[in-house]
Amino acid sequence: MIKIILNQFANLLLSLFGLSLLSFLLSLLFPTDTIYSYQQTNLFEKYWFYLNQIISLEWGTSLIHGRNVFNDFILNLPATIELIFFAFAFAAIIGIPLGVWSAQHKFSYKDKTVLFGSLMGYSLPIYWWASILVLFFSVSLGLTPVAGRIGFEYEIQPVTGFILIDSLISDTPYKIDAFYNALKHLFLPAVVLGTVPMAIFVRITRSAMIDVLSSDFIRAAKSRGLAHHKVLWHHALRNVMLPVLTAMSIQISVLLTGILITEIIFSWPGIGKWLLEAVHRRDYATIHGGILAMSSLVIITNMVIQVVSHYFNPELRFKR
Amino acid sequence: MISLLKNFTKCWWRQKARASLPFLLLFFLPACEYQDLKPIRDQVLVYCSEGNPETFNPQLSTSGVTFDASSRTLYNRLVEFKPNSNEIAPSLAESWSISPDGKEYTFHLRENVSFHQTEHFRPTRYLNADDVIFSFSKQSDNSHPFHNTSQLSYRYYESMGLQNLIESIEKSGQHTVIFKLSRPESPFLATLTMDFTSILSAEYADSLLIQNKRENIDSLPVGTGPYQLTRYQPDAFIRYKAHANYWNGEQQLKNLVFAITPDPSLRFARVIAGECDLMTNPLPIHLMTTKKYPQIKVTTQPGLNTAFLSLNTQKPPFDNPQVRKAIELAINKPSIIKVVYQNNASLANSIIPPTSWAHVNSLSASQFDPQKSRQLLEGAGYASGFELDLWIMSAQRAYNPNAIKMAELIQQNLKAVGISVNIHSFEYATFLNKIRNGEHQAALAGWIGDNGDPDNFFTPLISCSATKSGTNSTFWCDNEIDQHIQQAKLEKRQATRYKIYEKLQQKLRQESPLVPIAHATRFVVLSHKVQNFKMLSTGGVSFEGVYLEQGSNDD
Amino acid sequence: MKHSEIYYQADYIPGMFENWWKRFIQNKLSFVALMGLGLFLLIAILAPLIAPHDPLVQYDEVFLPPFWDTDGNARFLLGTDALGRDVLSRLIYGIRLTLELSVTVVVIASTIGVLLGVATTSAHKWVETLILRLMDLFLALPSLLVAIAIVSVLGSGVTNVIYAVTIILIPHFVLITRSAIRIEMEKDYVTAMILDGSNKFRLFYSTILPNIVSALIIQLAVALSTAVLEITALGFLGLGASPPSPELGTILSESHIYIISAPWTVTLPGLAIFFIVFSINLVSDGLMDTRSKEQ
Repeated sequence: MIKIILNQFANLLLSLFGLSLLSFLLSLLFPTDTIYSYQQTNLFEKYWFYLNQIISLEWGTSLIHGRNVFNDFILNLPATIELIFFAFAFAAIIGIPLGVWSAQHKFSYKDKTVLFGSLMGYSLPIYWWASILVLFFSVSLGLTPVAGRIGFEYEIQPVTGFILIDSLISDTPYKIDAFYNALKHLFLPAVVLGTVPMAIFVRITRSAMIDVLSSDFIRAAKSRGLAHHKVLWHHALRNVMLPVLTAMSIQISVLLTGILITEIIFSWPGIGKWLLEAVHRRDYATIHGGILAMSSLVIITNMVIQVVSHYFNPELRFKR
Repeated sequence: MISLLKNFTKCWWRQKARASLPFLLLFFLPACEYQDLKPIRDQVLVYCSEGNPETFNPQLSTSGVTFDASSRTLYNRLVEFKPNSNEIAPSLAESWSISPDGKEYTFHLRENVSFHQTEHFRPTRYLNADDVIFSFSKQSDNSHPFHNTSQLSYRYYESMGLQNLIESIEKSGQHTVIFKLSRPESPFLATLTMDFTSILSAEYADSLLIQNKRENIDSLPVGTGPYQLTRYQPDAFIRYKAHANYWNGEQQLKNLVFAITPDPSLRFARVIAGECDLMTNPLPIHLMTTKKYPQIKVTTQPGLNTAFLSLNTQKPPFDNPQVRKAIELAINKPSIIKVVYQNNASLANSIIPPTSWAHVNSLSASQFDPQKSRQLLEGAGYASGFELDLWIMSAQRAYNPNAIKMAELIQQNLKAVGISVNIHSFEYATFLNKIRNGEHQAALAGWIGDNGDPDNFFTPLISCSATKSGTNSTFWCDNEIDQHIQQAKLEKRQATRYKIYEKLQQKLRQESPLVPIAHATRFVVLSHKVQNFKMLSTGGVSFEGVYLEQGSNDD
Repeated sequence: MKHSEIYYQADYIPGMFENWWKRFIQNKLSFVALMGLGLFLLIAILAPLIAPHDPLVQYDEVFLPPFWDTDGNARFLLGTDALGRDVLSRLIYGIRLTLELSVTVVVIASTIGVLLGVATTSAHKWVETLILRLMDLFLALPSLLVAIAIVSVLGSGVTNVIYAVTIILIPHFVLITRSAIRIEMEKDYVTAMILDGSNKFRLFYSTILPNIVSALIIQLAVALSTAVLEITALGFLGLGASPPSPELGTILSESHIYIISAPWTVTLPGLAIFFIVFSINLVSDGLMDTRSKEQ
């Protein structure tokens, strides 16, 4: 196990090194200097200085409002994490049971309907999907808020940055209302962001479940007379989680694309909106920092998932 | 029916929350029958604003968005316009007198005017003459310790030519200030109503100097205005609370929030959904559908603004007046008024809007004549046309609801005379910056009058001094015109000034350094809850005296 | 003696692709989807002939609703947009432009990707490592971030969109090619050919390529749907083709502010993108099915 972790860690370092080269290249191509000063003339010196600055989290200051780029990133990150968490929760809560159900009825019309539906979800351009949902739920029915993270009437002091937590630990008399209000604001963005991952969860759970259900140990369990639901939810599902976990790691990069679009449409104050606004303002320091931070996050998360799936998969654990 | 559905969803949410977070919430959650009795929404006025303020110091800006968020909420000036009129009324100055030669203005300040008490600063004294002197010398004196607190410059102060006009500001006792001018200037009192002349606290500046945090004077403001800043999160919101010791009485409305929403469609949706109470500059198409929503109303006013196409006369081919004229003739203004403004604007022949007394009705209307335009281009040696980079800003402005559409229409018009237009869109602050540096070839710009005096259009837009401060985006500088502008400022009688401005506008008509396009009518969409809201004649919003109707709970 | 008398010989042996095709069209859904995709391609090719109006010409009627609305007008079947341009014609040209861009991107990416993939299996070890590492890195990076990086250096515009999306798609082709080749290389008939002394080029061209084609075709379909979604997403975010170009994403980003008052200017282009992507995905799903049955 330790060997695997070390191996993955080495991979991680290599990837981050590659990333630093790419982002250094990017910073060279930008019309304004973002990180290094003019003192370094040699390209290697420049890179070395650049690397030092990056590692010590001195990512420069925004060209528009002069704030520290890394601090800005940290400030905007919790909103995005909150959104991702709920989007994944939505995708998993709907997608995985639907996939299991579909696998049980494999090749029936129920299964085909689910597959067809999931393919539709997979094909949705989410910027359009978001507009349609807002038009229907928010503007026509008035059930959900149009945009934002919490109603402007609630003044919540940021402590953790996670608005659901901050609203509950705040000292306003309206904290319960504020909490529900924040939850309401989360609903549509999480659905929009979760739609594509949900469709993917359905398909992966289904195919993995079909494989597992035809395997020997399930047949053995069945023949021992175990209750159907117990076999399904206890024995089979556990083995389905592994491919789902792997799929999740691929989804993170897809999800980030969705994040940018969702945050813009719902004017959600996370890192996606922060980055895109910087692009429109030609704020190169922020663009550079945003791309670097988000890419590193994806690479690190991928590594963590790989280690976790190694841990859960005996086959992989003992292979090497 | 709808409210039933809403109540249902409220309960449903609670149940869902209770199911998913049982440990955290079990003890907090009241029963579902619990009604939202406390109308917290009714205690806060939410204004859907159009963008981030550049700064909270109005001295450093020319943008209405910044003024709305700073000078009009946080600060006062010596004198102010009465709402919806051209009459100047006392504000921080209780009274004033002007010497017979018109070169000396004496202001008697109001006593017991207190500054905001914030987390960072606790005022120990009332407003006095030092604050006035500080506010002006911060802008005029290059060696003043607070002169260079920001990357932004004192654009208005410079473009209004105040550095040459004001010879000295002296105090005579605690509450009397004397402005000595180098020459008589008839619009001077009107100038002192403008946002950039807001009065800052000298005492606050002193305390910042000791803490060595001078730049805070622009970002953590302390003023005398009806509201004070509590929190600002860029791209999200600005929060204000009522100033408890406001000299004109504490506001009835205690909490004010600017919800920063650049997307006009989102602004409109937020007002319909009750998330915002008020918005400015709705899209014309949305105005056509407001009748469907009984919870909102619309107020309107002819605007003191001009949208124009600015041609950089420093760059060929626009150094040639024939080419500039050709551009004007090629643009189909009536079609722009119809499509971009949905007829909610009047066609512009001059930079001066019809609401100003200096507007000249008899000015020859510019006709749409591509044929003649082609001839002019041929005459100037551009028979085969040329490529034109047209810069626009993505944000919507009071004078231009949709710059992209306008640019596309112009693109189409100019194609007909052989000019191919490339449209480049920039975010607001970037746009202003690049224009100021003269990087553009042509740009869709505009101007909102902010003191009611016609000089407020001429000096910043076409004078030579404004080419340096960058508000003259044409970079056109004509000595004869400049003399006229100065002459008009010296003159006291309106009739004589009108004569000069008439001549000026005719001359501009011939030279066309810029192509005036439209004067937009101003609209505000607001909820019925909002009471006592008046639009400022100069554009922009002010929340002094505004309150929310209480009691009606059916949101 | 005649052959036929000794042993039975079929008059006609269906070729590989014919077999494939037969199996593919057994799935009605993917057949219908293929027809749909064909229709979109036809629209794209014939755009100048079938579009009722010039997509850039601005008529006097702005925000005219589609014909089924009481205020609609048969002259503009799907209504007009904010500038009085015919929505139907803009859609037709939009489909053309978006598909044109997507196909261009996929062709470039697949060519480069396959070549790099081949290179990894036949070149030096360090070339292989370098390419693979780079591809791993690109795979881990969120596609839109790469696009943003490129667009923020080079500025928005159609060509930069092509660069950005191409870079995103290349790694998939490299990896698919590489793994397909490695699977084939281990098979006995390849070993036999190598022992027969056939050169590398011939080995690749005549033996390996036909056998990895099915894997590549599936990847082409997947890449095409990704390309359409990415190109329109960039257009929507204002980083792609700039107005007045009738690129579908650009149309959406222009009209999305009118969704409350003129919803047809938003729903219709969105539906067009959705149906294009959906039919591509159905086809690639069918292809994968066919392939898994084959093996």
